[in-house]
Amino acid sequence: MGEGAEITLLEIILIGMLGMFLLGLAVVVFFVVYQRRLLRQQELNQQIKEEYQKDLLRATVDSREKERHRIAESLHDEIGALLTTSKLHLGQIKPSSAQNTVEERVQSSLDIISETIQSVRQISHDLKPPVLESLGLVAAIRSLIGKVAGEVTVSCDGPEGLTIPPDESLGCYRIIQELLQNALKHAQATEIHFDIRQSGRSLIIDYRDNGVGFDIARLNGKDAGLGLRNIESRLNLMEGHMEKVDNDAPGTHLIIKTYSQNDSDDY
Amino acid sequence: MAPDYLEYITKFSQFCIGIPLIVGLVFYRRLNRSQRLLFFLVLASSIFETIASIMTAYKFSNNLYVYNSYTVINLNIIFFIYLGLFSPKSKTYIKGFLILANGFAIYNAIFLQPFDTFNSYTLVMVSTILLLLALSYFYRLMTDIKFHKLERDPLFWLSAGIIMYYSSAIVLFFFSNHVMATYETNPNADLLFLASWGLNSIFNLILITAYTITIWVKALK
Repeated sequence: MGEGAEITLLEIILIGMLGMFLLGLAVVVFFVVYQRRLLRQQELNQQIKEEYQKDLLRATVDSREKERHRIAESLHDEIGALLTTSKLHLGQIKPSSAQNTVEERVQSSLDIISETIQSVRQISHDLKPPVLESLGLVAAIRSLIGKVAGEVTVSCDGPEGLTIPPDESLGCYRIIQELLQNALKHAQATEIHFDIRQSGRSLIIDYRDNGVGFDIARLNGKDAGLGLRNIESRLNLMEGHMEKVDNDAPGTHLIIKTYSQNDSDDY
Repeated sequence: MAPDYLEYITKFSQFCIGIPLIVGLVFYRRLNRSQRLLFFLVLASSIFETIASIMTAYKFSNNLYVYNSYTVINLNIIFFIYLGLFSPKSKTYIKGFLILANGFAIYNAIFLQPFDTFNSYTLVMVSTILLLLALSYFYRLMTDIKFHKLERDPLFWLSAGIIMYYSSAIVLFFFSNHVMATYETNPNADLLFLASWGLNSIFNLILITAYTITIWVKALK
């Protein structure tokens, strides 16, 4: 092989080696840049997720505190006041008191105690409606509707014998309670309708009202109210979801779907 | 005549394998499975390099079978480092592939390129396999759902070193028979020989640096 051929081969080898090295380097740099971008994206997503979980936790804690405050208020203003009155009435009975005064005081005390019992029952009912356990979700919702119906027309369709676990049943009841409260307080609805049905392991709640409506995107925003966050938090626990049906009709149309986690169908 | 520094670079590159060896000895207790395997590869490389140097010093006519043996050891150890990347089902096929590759190396040594000659076919095959293994690691990085910091992953440094070194070395291995033939028929053509192997030594320094970082890095649990 002559000197010219040697130089040509040398050039081919050197250029080839350098070219391949640069190609290899480019591959490595590409993967490093790509991986860094993905890592940054993952960290950002994680941050958003943590922020969202924190918001939900805050909403749950706020809701619990609000409920405690309400119970404390009921105990103080209702039960406390009734028992104090009863104590005053009974304190007025003296050995020297006339027979008719004693009878009058005892009777009024008995009336107050009956009222106290009624109030305790109401508080207990608000905490966990007994009808939910004894008669099921649909009956409990009908009982709830019975309390608010009057100025507004509220109706509920659904089978009585739903087979869902008690904790999920309570979760759905609370969601419906929040929706109802939301419709009455903020949406200015005059007609509200619930349609409840079960499909396999999932429970579907179809909700409609004729109020001013709301933006479901607010659920993920900072300005979502406590009620909406409560719904979201409960749905998260039940691995369910809520979607808004867009149609020309005024008001709000929501479909809520929850999935039963329990294998057993005997509830 | 080729400049002297090309020869110095080649010699310097041979000594540098001692650096990852020392790093491996210092941090041996904290090395994970992959790092330990690489440490054994570096150890084997140092031993084989020392034997080859002693043979050259004592004017042995040929020390190529020392390097040829190392080529097969290199393939097998790096293969086992990457084996953990594959699913149990794929591992069976991958191991079968390793047996075939070893079989080819033996076949080449017996029938194509005798054991005391430069085994360019085996080297090209080994380079291709190692490049594929390193690329499979990067492919896995792309498809993984969970991302991690690459700086703390020993396999990243090893794969980067392999891709950079073997992608250039494969060109030299491919043409090595021509280079050898030219050098043997015309000893004055040492510029071609030393320049190509000198450049290979520079890239080998990059590989050794990658080996050193691979062993030195504190791996993520």
